[in-house]
Amino acid sequence: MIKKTGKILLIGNPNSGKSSLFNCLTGTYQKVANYPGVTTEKKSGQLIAGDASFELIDLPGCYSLYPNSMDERVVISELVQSSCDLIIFVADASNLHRSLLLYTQLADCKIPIIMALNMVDELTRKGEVINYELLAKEIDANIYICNAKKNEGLDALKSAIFKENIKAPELFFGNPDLFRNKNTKSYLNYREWHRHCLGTKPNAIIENIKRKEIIDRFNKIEKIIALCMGKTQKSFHRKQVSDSFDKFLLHPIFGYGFMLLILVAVFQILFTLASYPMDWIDGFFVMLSEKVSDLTTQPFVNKFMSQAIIPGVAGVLVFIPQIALLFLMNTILEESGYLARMAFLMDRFMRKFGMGGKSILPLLSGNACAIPAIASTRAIPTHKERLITILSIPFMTCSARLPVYTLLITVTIPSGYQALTLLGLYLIGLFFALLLSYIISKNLDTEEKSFLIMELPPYRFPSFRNIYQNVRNAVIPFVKTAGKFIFTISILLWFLASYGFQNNQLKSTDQIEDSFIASIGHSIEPAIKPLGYDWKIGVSLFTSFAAREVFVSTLATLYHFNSETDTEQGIITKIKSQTHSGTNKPVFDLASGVSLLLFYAFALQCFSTLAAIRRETGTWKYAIFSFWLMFALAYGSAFIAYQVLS
Amino acid sequence: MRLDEIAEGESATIIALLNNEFMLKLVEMGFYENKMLTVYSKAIGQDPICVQIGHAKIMLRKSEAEGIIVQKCQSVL
Repeated sequence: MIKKTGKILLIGNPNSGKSSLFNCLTGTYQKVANYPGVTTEKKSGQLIAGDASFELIDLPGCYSLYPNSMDERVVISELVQSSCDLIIFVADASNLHRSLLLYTQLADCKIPIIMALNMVDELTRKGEVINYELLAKEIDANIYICNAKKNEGLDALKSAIFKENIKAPELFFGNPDLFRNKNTKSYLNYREWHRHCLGTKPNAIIENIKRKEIIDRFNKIEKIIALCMGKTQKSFHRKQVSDSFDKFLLHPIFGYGFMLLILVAVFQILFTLASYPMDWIDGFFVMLSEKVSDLTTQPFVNKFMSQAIIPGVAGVLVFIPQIALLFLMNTILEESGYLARMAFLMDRFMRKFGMGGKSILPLLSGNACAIPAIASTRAIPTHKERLITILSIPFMTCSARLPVYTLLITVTIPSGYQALTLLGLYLIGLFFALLLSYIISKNLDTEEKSFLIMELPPYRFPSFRNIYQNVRNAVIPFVKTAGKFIFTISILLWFLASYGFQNNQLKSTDQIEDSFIASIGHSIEPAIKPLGYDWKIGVSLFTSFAAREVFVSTLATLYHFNSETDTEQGIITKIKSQTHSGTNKPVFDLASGVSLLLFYAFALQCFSTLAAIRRETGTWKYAIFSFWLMFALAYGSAFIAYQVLS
Repeated sequence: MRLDEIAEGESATIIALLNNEFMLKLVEMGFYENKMLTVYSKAIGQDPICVQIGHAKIMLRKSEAEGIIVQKCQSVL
């Protein structure tokens, strides 16, 4: 039995490599990126060696112990309101000046602390060097040089955590008069001072004390840096390359042109490159279905497997290549440092809609999944900007919509216009996100002042490990979450489509029109007929309120029952060949396809997103508002599209 | 003069920070008296601007830069 020995906090500046180190130390897969403010809530993991185990808590990044946003508040709350045994401070060697500000503040809290000095390679490339022994002496620190990206120096760091009896450093800041309580005439220790600040509304006196303290610290740090750092050789090459990139990427005209080009390229890749592995997966399940249909002597089992389980599972797994590609490209943009440049280019534009440059990451993350995107709004400093961003995110095209879009576009949109249609759907989502933001920003009064003040990260080569971890973090939950719904709903649907009441008796039926599902479908048909849908699409819409991806698997299951060439066609071909009984007109034509695409562009069919809105806003009011607003838009736009196009 | 009045590529030394809502945030990002900086880039409409201060490049809006009083000096880039 492992004996639990304590709690360790992982603290550092934003984008200093905390999450990478956390992943290395705990063997977990937290999201990492080259963008300040990726970690917005505390994450916990276990650090185990022999019979000892520590709880390691990865905290959001902050520049000082005076919080400016919700995520920074998490750090100071954790520090002053609960106890911890050790702090691992992750310092960015390439920006030591600012790292030491936070380090010295933590040191003055009188908690044992270890400094993990990260990104020394970047410092070396800049042609600079640190005298580590002297630095350790000057700031009374236990310094361990490590490189979380390359797994270097971690063994020494781990053994220091487990073996050494680490003491709290000597007080760094020598001006206790600043924190003197005028009423009681007593001095507050540094931790008590922060507790006091956390519970007090900011006023001019407190703000001036904070300012004086930070400047005093910086002045002292500058002297230490001058003593401990030196130049090895002038290394301007990397800086020149980086500056040349920025000259182009941040250019007031070319910068925007390049950004547009990147977005178009992303959608083209999503549609064309992903189609090859998608075809292979589709082909594999067709073959599997054929094999399984004759597998046992039990027709019930064969039918259940080939008509319910396999088409349902195939309907989702076939979209893994697209999800993986989407996250791969998102990660490359984040890791390279380009996303922060987009925030710079877009800040002025976003302000017109009540948001700012810091809203770019949550909004773009919404293209992957709304739930982490909503959580990442904690890095936005003002309540108004944060609320607007939260309510706009569900309009962004999340990865769960992608399987639905891909299926419907492939089936109903002429081949030359498919990538453009997909881009158009993303743009529609963005347009309505901005429209809603504009309306809310004009109607929501606040006295808070919004600000940008954000670091532009250096360009970095995306790490293969981080790309792998981020793609893995996306694909596995997609398969697990969607798979859970699909498995349950596929079994339920198969039962409802295979059985019905005949002469008041429960009987198996080969005719889907005699089944329970047909009765349910026909009962909702009047509501969906004006949108151009038959009852089977209606049932698929209904089941996809559990999760959007279920739409595809439901269609696959339902249309399987109608197909005469069950096992010889892929899902897409099968759905494409469906016709309305009587008229022989295709079920999926341009009008019904566009209508369905618009319905899915707007409808908020995701309980997890609603729960995330509730969690981050603290009330169901905004979740309910979002749901009904988006449903009304979905129904209205689908109705207009079908009536006009048909 | 104010920081937002400094042209792209020019350097300046900070003389004072006006007392406003962003002051503390600016100070913790390294903007304080006697610190040298260079205007690295300006977006469309000269807003926001990106400033190199020490090893870091910081983006800030024109309204935030208006609160930083500077004196031009020889380029440090």
